[in-house]
Amino acid sequence: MATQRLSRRLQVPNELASVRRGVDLVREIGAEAGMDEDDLFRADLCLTEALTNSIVHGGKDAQAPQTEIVCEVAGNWLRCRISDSGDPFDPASAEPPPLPTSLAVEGGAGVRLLHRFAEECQYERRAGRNVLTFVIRFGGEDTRFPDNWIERGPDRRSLKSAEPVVPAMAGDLRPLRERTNDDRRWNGFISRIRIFRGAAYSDLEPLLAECRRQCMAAGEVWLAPGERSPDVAVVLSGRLRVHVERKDTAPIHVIEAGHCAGEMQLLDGKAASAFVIADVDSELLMIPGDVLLKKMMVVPGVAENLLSILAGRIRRSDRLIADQVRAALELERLQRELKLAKEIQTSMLPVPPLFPEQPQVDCAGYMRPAREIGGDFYDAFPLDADRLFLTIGDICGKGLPSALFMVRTLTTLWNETARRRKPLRIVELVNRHLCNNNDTSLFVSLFCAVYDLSSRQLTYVNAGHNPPLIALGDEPFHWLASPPGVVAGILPDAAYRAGTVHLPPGSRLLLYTDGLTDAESVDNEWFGQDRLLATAESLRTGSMTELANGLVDAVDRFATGREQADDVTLLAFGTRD
Amino acid sequence: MKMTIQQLEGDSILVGLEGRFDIEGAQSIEDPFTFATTTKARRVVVDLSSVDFIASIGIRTLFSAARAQSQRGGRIVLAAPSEMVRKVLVTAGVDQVIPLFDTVEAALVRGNAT
Repeated sequence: MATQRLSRRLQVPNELASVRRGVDLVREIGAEAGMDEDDLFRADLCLTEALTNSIVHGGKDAQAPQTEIVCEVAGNWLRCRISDSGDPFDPASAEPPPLPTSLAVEGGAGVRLLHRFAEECQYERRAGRNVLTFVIRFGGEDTRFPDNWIERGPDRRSLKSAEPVVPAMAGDLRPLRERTNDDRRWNGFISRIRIFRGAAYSDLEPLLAECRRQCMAAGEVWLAPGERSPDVAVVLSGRLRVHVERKDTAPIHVIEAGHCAGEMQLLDGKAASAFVIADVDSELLMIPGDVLLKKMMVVPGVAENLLSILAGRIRRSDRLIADQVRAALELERLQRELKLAKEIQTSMLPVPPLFPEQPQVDCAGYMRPAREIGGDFYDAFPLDADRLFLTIGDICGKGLPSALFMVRTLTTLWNETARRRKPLRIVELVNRHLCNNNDTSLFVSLFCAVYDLSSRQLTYVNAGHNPPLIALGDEPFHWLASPPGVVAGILPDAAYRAGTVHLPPGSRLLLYTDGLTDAESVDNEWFGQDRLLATAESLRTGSMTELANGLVDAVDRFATGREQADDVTLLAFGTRD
Repeated sequence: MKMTIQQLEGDSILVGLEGRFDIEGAQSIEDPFTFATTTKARRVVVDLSSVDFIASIGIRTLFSAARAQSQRGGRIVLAAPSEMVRKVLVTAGVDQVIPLFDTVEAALVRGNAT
């Protein structure tokens, strides 16, 4: 079967509508040549990028404000050539920019797309015009790459991948006539390396013989902070990523094939400041420092390229430093606000002594927030001349949402206790209020009790909180049985039941949160309920302040060497004659 | 290009795009798209299922909307690109910074949750 050949040519003015005309042309010739939808898409995309670029940059010359498009098909190859008379701009060898790592950086996507979606992409300045050529291979019977389609550069007969096949030793030099296609492909690749752009290959060839090639497996570290390398590395295939400080942070920079790493540490003589790691299996060309500095720098073009790479890198690191300063200021502001939030939270708790004008009772509270702002609270205040209100609670989770939910819980409690005397009704209403607009699905375990001074009755409701400890008269401490109830803030119609107990003189009630029982020792053991019961019992005959302080001391001794993970909160209440 | 806006529950919107997202397409929707996606903080799901072509200029439009939205505290997610459009988005690294979902349903469920 004869190799098919097709050709179309079009001159368009430098206006946006021309993009569509060029696209129609390439789609038409492509469809005629039998390209499938995906190949047409690629051809369309490459032409759109090249043409948009040429129309935007190429319209300055009033004499010939025309862009010319030539599309040709030979076998299963499509070549498009776009030429304009604008200022020189070379998207074919323009550096494909690093992938964006945040929304703050972007741009250059067009160049990247051209490089990735065309098999070949080449730019020339010819007779005062920019000429951009790209080649696409499409499905169907494989035919030979047409002769003379790309004037210089490597043999393209087996275009399986865009990566060059590098000879066993980078520096293996063969006489011109004995060179294989692989050698020539390698030579062609050298001319696309950023630092060698524009330099004559004949000047570089003997110097490349002094370099070596190194393979690195994905994840392998080439340079770590504090290290120095005698070489500058050029990525031949694969890519490197650069991390500041830690390997597991997001990379600040990705070094793609054709670009180099390590030139900063070589030039300033200081150790590397970042990790340089192979992102995928990669091949590097290692240029010894003295070869680069003493021999390559004198090759016309190389010094200029190196300076422009360095300028780009300095500009990037300036931006990075500015970002880091901004982040540090932001962090400082947040920490200040968190500290303030913690203070506000603590100021909502009652100030000791508790119930100073009630000689029949003794009461002490304690709360120590964990490092991160949390959501424990307790409160104790008289409802009227005869009744005292006691409560303790623990908001699930940590951080600002929990702290705000704690504030909401406390203010709701204050509202409801202003009008009501029965703990059952108070808990029911607090629960219902907290369920309203609770988008964050936070909840609180809550214990509320009302002590009647004249009848010595304690009425209490437990909404999912740890069982309190109680000691009646001279009896030892035991767990106070409470009717079961779910945590508040989840089910608006949850049913609660109240319990009652008579407190003879000398009784003690101990309310606490799981910051006590869940405190962990260095051996990863929990303080636990048994230890809590035993410790409380050993302190039973003292004052409530002694009981509270003694318990906190015991927990601190137990958890020595561990950071306090949760708020530690307790409320001790005792009756007297 | 054509553009549709559908109000979803809460303050979310579903923006449907249709046609070629090249320089002409981008210009034809620029004003309404920018207005819908950047004037206030909200969740925006961009349905790409009817976009049959995208070039770098289209990517730039998506980028600037996502950037404006993230500055305001809102969020843009992309949904249901065709295979080739997805390839372009991934090549340009868009998926690294703007969440990309296979279906509109997934974008609505997971895009809201995370």
